[in-house]
Amino acid sequence: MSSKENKDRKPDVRKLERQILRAMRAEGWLAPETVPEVLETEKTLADDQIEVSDASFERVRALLQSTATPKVIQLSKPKAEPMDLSENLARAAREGGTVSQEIEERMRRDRDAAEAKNGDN
Amino acid sequence: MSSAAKTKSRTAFSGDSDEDLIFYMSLEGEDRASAEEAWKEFYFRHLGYLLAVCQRFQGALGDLGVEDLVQETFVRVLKKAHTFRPLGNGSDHASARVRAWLGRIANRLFLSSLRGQPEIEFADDPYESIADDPAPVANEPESDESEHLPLLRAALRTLTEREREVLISSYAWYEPGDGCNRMPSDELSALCSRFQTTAANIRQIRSRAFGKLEKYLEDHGNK
Repeated sequence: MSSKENKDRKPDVRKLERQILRAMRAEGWLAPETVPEVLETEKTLADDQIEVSDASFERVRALLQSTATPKVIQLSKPKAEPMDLSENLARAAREGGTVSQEIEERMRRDRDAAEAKNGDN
Repeated sequence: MSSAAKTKSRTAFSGDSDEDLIFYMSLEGEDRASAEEAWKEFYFRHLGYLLAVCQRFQGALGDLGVEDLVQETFVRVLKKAHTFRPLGNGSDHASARVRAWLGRIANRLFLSSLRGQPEIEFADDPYESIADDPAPVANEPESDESEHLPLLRAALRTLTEREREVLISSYAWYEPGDGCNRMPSDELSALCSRFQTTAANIRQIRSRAFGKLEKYLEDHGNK
């Protein structure tokens, strides 16, 4: 088939694909997506009510929490007074390894807080 | 069908319409307690229906997969409540329109799960796929394509089980403007694994399925 013929044929193919998708929903291969499809489906469903436990909803709520919460371990805020800069550096030295930017940032905040506190006094 | 369509309400929002519930749900950022209570009512109201329609995916997803799909659909409804455009209380078939929206989300999730993911992937950005997929504004008009619908449905029934599954899977990549020809080769490998065959064979099966449908329409003189 030439490229021109192929191009001319494209709208037909797209139309057919769209129609197939719609027919698949009508056949029950996919969930209804239009009002007429929903109304048609509802006719086929049982009309009685079922009990759903609260535990069922709690599982969905838990799923919401798991998707809403970034998968990052939150550092708890220290309850004690912040250690001073030298203590942080000493601990880093004792435990080895490099001082990460995050630790450096925390130490800087600790130092600023300590200086501000001293300034207040 | 064994699943029931209705579940009993048990929340303070039991008298509110579906559109009102979605409105309260959209306020999640401002009033989380009310939003979750409205969401709970919405869940109890539509769980039976959604479970029933999602049973059709049981073959591909299994029982647990269907449950996951239903749960994830409800989570997305809450997160996407602000994108829903209400028609106003008293509108004809307002509840059916909400369920149409539910179905659209469930289908997106189901088809996404076929993109080489044996299970629903919760760690994925869960809201991106419907971010530009607002709810339908009104009842979708019946186009002239409707007249071919019975014929196409009959044509679909002539497909083999495998052709049917490959056809559904090919719609995992369907885009209204582009059709469903864009089946990336890396993701195709997962399909090959599922069907225990080669990529070339998958393409052949898909091509044969489309060909059978076209021929059926031609033979019955209604294309």
